[in-house]
Amino acid sequence: MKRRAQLSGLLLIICLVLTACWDQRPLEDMALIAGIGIDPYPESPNLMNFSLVYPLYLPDRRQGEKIELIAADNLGQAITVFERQNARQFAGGKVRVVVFGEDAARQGLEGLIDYVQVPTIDDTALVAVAERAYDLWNVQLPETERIAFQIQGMLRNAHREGNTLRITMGELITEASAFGVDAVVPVLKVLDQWRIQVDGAALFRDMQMVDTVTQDELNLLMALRNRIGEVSIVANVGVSDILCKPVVEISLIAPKPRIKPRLENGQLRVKVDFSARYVLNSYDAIADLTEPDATDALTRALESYLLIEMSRLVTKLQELRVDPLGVGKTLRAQNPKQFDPMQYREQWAQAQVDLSVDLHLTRAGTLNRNHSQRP
Amino acid sequence: MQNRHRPVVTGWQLFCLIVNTIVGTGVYTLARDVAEPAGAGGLLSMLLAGILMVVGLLGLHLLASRFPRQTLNEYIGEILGTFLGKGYLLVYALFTLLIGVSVPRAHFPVVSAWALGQTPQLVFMVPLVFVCWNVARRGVVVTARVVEMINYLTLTLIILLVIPVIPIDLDFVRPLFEKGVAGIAKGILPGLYAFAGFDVFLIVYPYVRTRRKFGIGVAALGLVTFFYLMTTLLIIGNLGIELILMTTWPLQSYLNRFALEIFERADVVFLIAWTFQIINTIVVMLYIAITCLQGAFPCLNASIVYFIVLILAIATTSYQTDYDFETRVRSTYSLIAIGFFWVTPWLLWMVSLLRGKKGESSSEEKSAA
Repeated sequence: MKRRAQLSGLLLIICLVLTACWDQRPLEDMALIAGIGIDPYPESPNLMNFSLVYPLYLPDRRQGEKIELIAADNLGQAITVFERQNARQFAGGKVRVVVFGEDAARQGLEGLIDYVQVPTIDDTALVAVAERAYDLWNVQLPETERIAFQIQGMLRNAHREGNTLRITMGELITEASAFGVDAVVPVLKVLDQWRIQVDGAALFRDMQMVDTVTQDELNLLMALRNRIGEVSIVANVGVSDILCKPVVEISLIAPKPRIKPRLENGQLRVKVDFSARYVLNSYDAIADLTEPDATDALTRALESYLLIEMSRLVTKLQELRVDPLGVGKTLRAQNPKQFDPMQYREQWAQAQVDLSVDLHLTRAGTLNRNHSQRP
Repeated sequence: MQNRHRPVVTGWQLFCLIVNTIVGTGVYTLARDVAEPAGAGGLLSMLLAGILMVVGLLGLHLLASRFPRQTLNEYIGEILGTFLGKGYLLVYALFTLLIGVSVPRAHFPVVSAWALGQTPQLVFMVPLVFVCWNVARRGVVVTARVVEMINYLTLTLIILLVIPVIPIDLDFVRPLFEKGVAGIAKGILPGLYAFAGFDVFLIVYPYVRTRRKFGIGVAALGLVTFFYLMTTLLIIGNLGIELILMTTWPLQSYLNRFALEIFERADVVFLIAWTFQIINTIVVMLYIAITCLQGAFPCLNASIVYFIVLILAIATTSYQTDYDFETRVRSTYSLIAIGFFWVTPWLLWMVSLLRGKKGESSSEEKSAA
């Protein structure tokens, strides 16, 4: 009898202290945050407008999303305010996408270090920049009523097709905090009330957005960053029977940039050897690509084109004093005594960059639209 | 202990005991602790710490092999005399208990921040400590078997953790000598802290029925060193040194970057499974503390010793955590404790050698002869 009483007492204590009981939350009481937008708060420079997007099941069995706009100092405070205003608990375990308004990004992401310090929030959320993050959530996409999921899918597909780069919150924070490398974030453009497009990218200097690059520049940048398996390039090169040069569409396969920086008498010299295989997707000219001479000539023309365009892009990056190529990171890894994080930006701006391009045609899976019209 | 029916621990159980006692909460912050003084050279610091621990293990082996059929409680009096011997065991028990208590106290803030934000510390600690104590008080065989059983889960986790699922950026882990030899040397100290618990080898030595005890100990330390090296490499290669220095628990931040189809949040899944590893560590630490206290106070009834350990463990683990303060204190006393466990066996071995103290040969040695 005594043993039974002891056992009963023990079971009662165990029931009281079961940890799951303390943290158990019904799913319907949770706001499963799918998207976070960050804009400046117009009435105070010290506050940010956090737009928190979470899915809702509507009474007529449709799926929708709710957007909460909260002004706060940082994300942690926004979560506290959100939970105070709502019956639902903030659940940031699987955030799909985080969008920075351009003004907020230009102000700087210092507060975003908070993001990684809030462990309940997912670091694998994709990141993008838009003119105004809040506006993005209000676009009426015809395919879905859950825009955060749609944007995540759009960014993912664009990356798979080689049209944009993929950067998560975790990677953004790493690149923003590490010495000698800067982050690049895709830009989302609201075309009209129903359409969004991935268009170019935002360049960051440490934690601050400084400028944007166009989609063509982004394609070259992705090739130079060695972060993508295939990049689509549209070039105007080759021989034609008309005045304007023909349009050539190629895919660069496994682009490999070899970056070798060294400091000589305080002057940074960077040698960039870029090599890639390419597939010819479309060629709009009279040349017969079954002839080796024609393909060789085309390859040389493409090399010249890429050399000029890449040099132009690198010059732009130097002028902006941003280093998304990670030249400083490589310099630090190879010659740590030569790397000074305080002076590096100026050294990069004055650096002498020696660029070379080497292409190899892998497959001419081309659609030569003029070929059938040749005499 | 020298009777026929002494408990038996297998070689595999010895391996499990050493691995599971060492690997605990240190891995949460290890990458930051070694990267702070040594940068990417923290990898070398870890390797050197592992080698130093093998030297420490050699000291334990030399001492224990002089008294192969006796426990520490039995032969410490022969080496140091009754009074000093009891004092030594008391200090040993207190250091072990302190480390044993610091393990759940270091684990709870991570659990609280990541998963169980609403659960009070007392509610988390009492069942955890009670379960561990209930295993530890039942002696070496039950302790070894429980550790072995849980080990199959945690060893799987350890193996999974050393697989580079996300590609690492090698530029973040180069150059190893950025902070120089001095930086790497400084990184050894926090590296050593992560090896606390290796002295379980000395306590269970007389129960182990194999002639390759030292080899098993070295293999266990080798696995732990490899595990620490790989996790530190993966964390630095993914997060970068600068971010690691800003992060409270770099391992969790690293795991937060996994997005697998099976489970979306690897960091939370890991934390739940790792609690079993923490249980293993606490069980062994409590077992050592109980054993040494029994040696220090042989006149006390065993039940009273168990009760004292339980009350001490529950009271010290349930007291509210001040993470920053505790981290500073823990890093200091853990180093003192590690120094104690590393140095004193060598000293005791030398004293026993000078005084010509030696126990009976084990039956395996006799049969080998």
